[in-house]
Amino acid sequence: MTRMRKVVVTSLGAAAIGVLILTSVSAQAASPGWITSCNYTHSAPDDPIVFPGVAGAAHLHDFIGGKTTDAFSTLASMTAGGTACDMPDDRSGYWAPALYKDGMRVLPKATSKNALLYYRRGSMKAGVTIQTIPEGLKMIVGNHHAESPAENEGIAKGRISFKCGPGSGTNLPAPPAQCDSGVMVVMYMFPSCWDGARLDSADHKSHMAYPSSGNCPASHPVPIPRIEAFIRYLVGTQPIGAVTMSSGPYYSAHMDFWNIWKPAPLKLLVDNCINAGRDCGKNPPLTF
Amino acid sequence: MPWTRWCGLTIFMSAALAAISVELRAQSLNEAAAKERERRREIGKAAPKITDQDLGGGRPSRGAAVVPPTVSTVAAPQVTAAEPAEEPERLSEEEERQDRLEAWRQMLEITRDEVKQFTAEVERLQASVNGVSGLYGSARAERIAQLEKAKQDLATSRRVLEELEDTGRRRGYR
Repeated sequence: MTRMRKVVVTSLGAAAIGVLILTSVSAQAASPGWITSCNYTHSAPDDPIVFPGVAGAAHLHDFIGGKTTDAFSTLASMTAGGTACDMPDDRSGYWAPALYKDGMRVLPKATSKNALLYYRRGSMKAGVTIQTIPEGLKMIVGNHHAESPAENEGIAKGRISFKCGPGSGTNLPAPPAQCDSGVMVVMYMFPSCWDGARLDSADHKSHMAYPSSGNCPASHPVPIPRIEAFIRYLVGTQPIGAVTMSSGPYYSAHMDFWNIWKPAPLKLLVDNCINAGRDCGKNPPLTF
Repeated sequence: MPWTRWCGLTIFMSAALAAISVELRAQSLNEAAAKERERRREIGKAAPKITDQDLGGGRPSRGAAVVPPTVSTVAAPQVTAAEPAEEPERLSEEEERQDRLEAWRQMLEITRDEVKQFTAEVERLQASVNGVSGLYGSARAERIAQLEKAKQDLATSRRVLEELEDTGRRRGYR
């Protein structure tokens, strides 16, 4: 082998090693987790978390995901009821108050993917192992009793926001005045620290908490995936006007989640995407 | 130095350099993230507070089948909370383009339907007005008012349709 050839071979080898190192670092994605897309299914004045077993007791809700969610839903009925999510293992119920634009109903039906649910590691510190979400866990973000934006902790702390979408757009604490894209997106970020014991609580919130400084608080020590829901509304390109919700002004925004994922696939996703530091993309196949 | 040792040393040095560059990159990313957090904190301190007065008041209604109250929407400032949503919706450029194209098509279809409906409505009311006997009857006046409203709606829908078609041309949508 000539000296020149040696140099070339050496350089190529070194470059290959460099690329390998860079690739392995890139695989530790900035946002480990996955996205599931789900569609709107139906609307009803029901809320199986706040008013279980009482039909018509709630304000009007738009249901996404689970096809049969109503006041009488149970774990068994939800499991058997089918899903409008593109990942068939996600039979969860997601619901939010009906939305109005100048008093006119706007259904969450913009584009063929009406809602994107991001399951992420979130702000949890490196080294913290995220646990799977317990089957049947119920939780709420936001406050439908809020009488000002400040009274809705979700809005005040940026866990509920509005923007023009889909995709890039500035998060706002109130609905935008106009969207050139014709689509308004409402974002809800659920708490990701569980108390490890209760699947629900009297206020439907106190069994859950948000992490602080990258850790779950001692009272809620179990870190689970952070769910961020992005719901799309086709509001048109003209000025949007006054946005209200069936629960009241826009600042009464809130969202409910009832975990009906198949447990085994959900655990696979948590372990192979979030805990493995991988961004598994949208509706990933379970081929880990 | 035999060439094999020379090769090994070179590979080791290259790998070490690559690792250092990655570490430096991570550090600069961390620094950038810390700066961004600080910037957001600063913005948060200066952010205007939204009050009920700004929003036009309006207590939310309660209970079943609530009729949504009308609340004025203010020009909204950016989210400036102490703990902002750290990861906003991220779509790839291609996904975003596809989704926006899909939304545009959806709006185009709806607006075209509206134009058809309002055109039919204007024609129906026009025929009705033309056919009503009794030149100054209250029924005729009412229908003329309906006709004017339908014409306004049609004009609005046509304007929106034109805007959408213009947007489509500019963005190369089909």
